[in-house]
Amino acid sequence: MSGWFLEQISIEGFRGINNEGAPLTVKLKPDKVNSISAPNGVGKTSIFDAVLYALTGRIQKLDDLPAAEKGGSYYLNRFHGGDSGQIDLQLQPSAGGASVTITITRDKDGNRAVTAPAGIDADAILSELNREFVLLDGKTFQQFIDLKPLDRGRSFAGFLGLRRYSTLRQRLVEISNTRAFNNHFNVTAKQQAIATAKQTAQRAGSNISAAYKELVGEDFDPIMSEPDLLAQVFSALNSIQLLKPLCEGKTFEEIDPSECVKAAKAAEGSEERDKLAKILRKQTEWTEASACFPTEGEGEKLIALAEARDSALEKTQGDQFRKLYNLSEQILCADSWEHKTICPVCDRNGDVSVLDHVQHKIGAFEDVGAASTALGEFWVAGNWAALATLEKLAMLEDENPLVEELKKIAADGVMTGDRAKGLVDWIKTLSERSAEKLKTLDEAKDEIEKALPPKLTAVVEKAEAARRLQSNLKDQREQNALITTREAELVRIERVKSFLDGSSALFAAAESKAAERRLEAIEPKCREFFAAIMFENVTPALSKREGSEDISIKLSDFWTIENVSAQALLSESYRNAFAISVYLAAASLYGGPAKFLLLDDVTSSFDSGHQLHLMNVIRDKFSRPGVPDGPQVILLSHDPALEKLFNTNSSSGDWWHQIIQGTPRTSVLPQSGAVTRVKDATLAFLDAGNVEDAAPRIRQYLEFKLEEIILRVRIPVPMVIAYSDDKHMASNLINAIQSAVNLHQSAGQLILEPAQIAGLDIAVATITGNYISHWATGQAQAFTAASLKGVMQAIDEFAQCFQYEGEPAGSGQYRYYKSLSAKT
Amino acid sequence: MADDSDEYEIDDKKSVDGNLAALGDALKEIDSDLADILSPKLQNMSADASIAKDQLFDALYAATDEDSEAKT
Repeated sequence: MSGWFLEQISIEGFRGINNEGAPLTVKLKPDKVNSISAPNGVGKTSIFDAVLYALTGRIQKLDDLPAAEKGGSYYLNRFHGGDSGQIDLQLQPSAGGASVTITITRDKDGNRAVTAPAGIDADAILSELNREFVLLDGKTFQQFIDLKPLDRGRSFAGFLGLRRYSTLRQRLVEISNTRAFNNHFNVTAKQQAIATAKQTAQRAGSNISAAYKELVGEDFDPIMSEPDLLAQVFSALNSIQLLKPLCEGKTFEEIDPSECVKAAKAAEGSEERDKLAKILRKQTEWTEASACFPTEGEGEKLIALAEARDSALEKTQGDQFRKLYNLSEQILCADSWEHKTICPVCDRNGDVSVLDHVQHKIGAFEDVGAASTALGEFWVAGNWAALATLEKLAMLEDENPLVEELKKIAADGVMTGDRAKGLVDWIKTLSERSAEKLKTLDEAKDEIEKALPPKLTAVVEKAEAARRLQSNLKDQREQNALITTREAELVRIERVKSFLDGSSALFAAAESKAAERRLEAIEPKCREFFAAIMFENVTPALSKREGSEDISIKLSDFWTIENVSAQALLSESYRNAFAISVYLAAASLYGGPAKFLLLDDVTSSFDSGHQLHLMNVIRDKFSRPGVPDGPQVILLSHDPALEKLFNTNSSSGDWWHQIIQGTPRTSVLPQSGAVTRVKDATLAFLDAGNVEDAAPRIRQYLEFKLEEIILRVRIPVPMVIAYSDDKHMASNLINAIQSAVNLHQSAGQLILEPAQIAGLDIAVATITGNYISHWATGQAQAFTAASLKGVMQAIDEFAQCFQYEGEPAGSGQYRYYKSLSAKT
Repeated sequence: MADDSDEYEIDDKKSVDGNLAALGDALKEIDSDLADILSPKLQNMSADASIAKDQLFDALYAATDEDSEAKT
């Protein structure tokens, strides 16, 4: 696969790198291990941040700062005079060809611009390079061990080359989420509407059956077709001689029952007939309205469901908190929220997962939702709302229509237990009134019927039965149509849900298998790296639960104990070694177009021995040129012991080491190949009287020259220097040089001229007295420009004490002695 | 709507886009009409683009319309 090496980074005005007018330019070698050393606070992490911003367009740690701290305003260097920062990445195609420079700028308003030479799609290249492998630091490794298996699996998916698959898997799960899906389609409301319609249609069916019997004089056969029904009832009416003229040329539903009653009344000519018809209508009205009384047990159940909801509601804190918890859940579930133990509301960090806490709280709200649904469904299924019709009939003038008032909140499932009790009592009252009324109507009807001729009474009764039949047939048809429509909608909705569930499950299984396969592939390499770093009887193991996104870490062997917890047993350095081994193994197998890695301070938990082993693993088993197909590694470190190692390795030809020095206020410069620039800059500052900016550069220049002497004249340096505080580095190096000179002088083997031996003492006195003794104790105010100029001169004179003039004499070409005892 | 799509696997030799195209084919085995709606969105979904869920749901629902099925 083709890809890109990083040849050079230039930075100006970004993070801790001011360098106004003279960008920090760090040259890198694609065919070597690259290392950059710098003391703390000099700009090493600024280089890391610059590449991070160049590739991703953001620096998460700044964006995550509290709003009051305005993290966005810290992208640019605060001392830079311009209003933008600039990063140039010079990239070399791994397949060969001309290098490409991409320029990324950010202005003070946070606007980002990316440019490249014509014909180069800079955004596409940066997108290709935006891989999890490119920028790794100690924090990343620490997290790998500490994360929960699911979070580890998701964050590590990118390292297995499965980032897009993992993201897609999560998106598919999101769209197949039942709650969101049902909310979108109002599934519960549709189901409730169907239940209500079925109740109403059933009641209409009962009424049709009763009216049919009254009209036709036979039991209604439920399997009878509607045309047959209509024919039967038409025939029943049409067979009454008095009503024949009103039926002719009409269908049953076109016959007007009122006209039929009027005809009977006219035939009788009696007011009593009119009264009877009214009583019959009233009777019908009350009978139908009373058809849906709940049983006593149903009343008790309604109260119990409402009280259960009250009880669930007491465990929550209201709708505002529900919104807060839902929003918190969204934030905590997002990959960008790395620490699930940090509260997104108050930023406090704890030992337990805030997500678990929030989901527990949401669970309480969901209990309320479930209780509400149960209450609403019970209300709808019982068709309690139909009691509103009876209520209208039976209610006294000064009473409130309680069913009418509560039917909406009861259907929504939000009725309280107290209101439910009141309602059930009210329904009992309505029931009593209904029974009383029907009794009264029945008595009145009997009384009138006794006084009227039986034949015409029957005609009026049949006309009223026809009216009920017409009305209920209409209701039944409407409800059946509604049921058909809603059920068809639910079938379509279920088809979509089934598809989404199937798609999500299908892809989850495939992604899980791929991750498992790739995890298995990296495990042997991970073990090889781990063994080469730690050299102990400890074997890391990675596993993945079938079908899940989890990645679990274990130790398959811990000093002969098998299959034990890595988190519980490993010390910090072992945990770090475990994580580094996993990442390097993954990077070596699944690296993408970015053929380079920046590793920032990844060894801080290691002692010097394990640091050495890790560097050997990187050089010999992972990186170019040791592994020709491996990536280009760029190590960033502040560690003095590693700096010594880097210096040693840099003489091997497969390692490129640089040191950077400076301050965020002025500039940061690479020492390698630029010592003259440092010297010139220092002298320029001193000429301008700027002691504050000159002092750190003198240290940089001094240490460079001392290390140059040690390296070139082959002076042995005690290991203890590697562990010394960096501010004592120069005096330690001078002491080492002086000890070696004294030893050779005592042995009579010192090659230095007498004048050079004398010059050493004078130069050291000046350097120590006017600079080191103040610098090491932080007494910068003791410096003066004049004395520091003398120090700069003494540094050069000190170095000249170890040099001789080459042939011909007077050429001015000075070379270092081969050693303290040999000139060449 | 026969579901014989459990053969789908990510092929390590294919690119991500190639595997997503194969997924689109596998989804057709679950429901061809709905796969036509979802498949073109897989690339964006894998790139972490936010999903307009409501629009997607409506489009999928519209694709279940028997009349529109009859036309296609």
